[in-house]
Amino acid sequence: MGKAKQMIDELIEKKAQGNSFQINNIKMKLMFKGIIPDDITEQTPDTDELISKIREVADQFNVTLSN
Amino acid sequence: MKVKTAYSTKKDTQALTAEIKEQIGNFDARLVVFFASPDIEPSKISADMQNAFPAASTMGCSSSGEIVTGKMLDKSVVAMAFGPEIIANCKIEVLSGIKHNNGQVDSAMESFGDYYGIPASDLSPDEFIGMVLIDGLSLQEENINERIGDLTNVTFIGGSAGDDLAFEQTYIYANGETYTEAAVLALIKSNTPFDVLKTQSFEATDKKAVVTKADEPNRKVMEINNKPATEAYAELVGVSEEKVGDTFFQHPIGLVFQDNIFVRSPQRAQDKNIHFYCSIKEGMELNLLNSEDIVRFTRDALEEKVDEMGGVSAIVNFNCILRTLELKDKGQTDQYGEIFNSFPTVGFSTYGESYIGHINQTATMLLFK
Repeated sequence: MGKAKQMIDELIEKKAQGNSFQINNIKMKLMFKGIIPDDITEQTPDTDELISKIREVADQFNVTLSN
Repeated sequence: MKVKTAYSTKKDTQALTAEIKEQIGNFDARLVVFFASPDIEPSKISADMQNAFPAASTMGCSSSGEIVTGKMLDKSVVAMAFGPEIIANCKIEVLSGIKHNNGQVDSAMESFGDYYGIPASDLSPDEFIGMVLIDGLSLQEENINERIGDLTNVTFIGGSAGDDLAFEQTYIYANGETYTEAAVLALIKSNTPFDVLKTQSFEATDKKAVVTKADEPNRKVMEINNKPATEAYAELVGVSEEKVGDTFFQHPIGLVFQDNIFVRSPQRAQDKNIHFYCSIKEGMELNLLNSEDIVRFTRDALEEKVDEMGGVSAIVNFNCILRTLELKDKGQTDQYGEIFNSFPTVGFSTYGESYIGHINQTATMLLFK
């Protein structure tokens, strides 16, 4: 547990490019893609489906995740 | 003066563009945005508007009712000319054949990047603002809005072209050309601060609808909360399944994020399925919404935004046709128009609104200080 949370936080941070006002916009974009970032916590199980979905969105955002 | 607005109810495109031109007068228009009833010859209006403003970029679409400062109109054309105090630069891109031609948003973003010398992914959302108008019968709004959001952090706001509720053919206008099955994007570098307002006149209940089976491309939901969609929806609203269709207008469902509601409006019930005006992904959890007063909610939201911005010099209002129909039903169109009396405004009744995604029963507005 914890990998999905780490990945989603990194995805949001990199897409926001340091603009804190963008964070909510990016969370809303994720919501439209079927990911509710605020529901992903350290306790969220790292299911293959969730990890794969986050990677798919990272590709769409052209964001490289560290793992 | 940062903008000038105009409207005409004439039918002949040359006569009406002459009237629009006269109202706008000797103004240095950099961008002219217009919305026109499809009754006004679609094959001519775009060229005639461009001829009237040869030095400006022009863009617009067909509508299902028009909005101009203080008024809601029908069977008219409305226009806003933006001057250099707002428009530092503007680039327009058209996406054509959008039902069958993927990848055009990527091409448009590349073109924007080339034009401004900055990749779209690095454009500052504080300096740039986008407008987007999409064929409202194409079912492509979700794909286009999501792809825009993938490729840039610049906000694109807009709406889906209408056709006076005929549901046969909508038109997109750009730089003198007329398009069908198309979308137009404008990327504006602004000389003045801007903001967006998304307002919907609903309050979220704590009743949850989890979509458990859906046909996303066709905007059809087959199951909610693991039950046939109509049965589950009827339970949520508290009516019999036979009457559920009568409740859709007052009780859509919405994605709720913090205080933000993104409305997903049911269109009709058929064979225990519910067809929506936008797609909903399987697994999405939504809240049942209760309808409130459109005029009051819009007035309050606009007043708050104007205070926050310290004044507004121009508004482009993309107002859902379902809101317009409700306003007409309640005899509130004059009251709604009056909300915008103090601000130069242009807008239209849309077949869907664009802001981050494709949404329903909402007004999305672009405001310039």
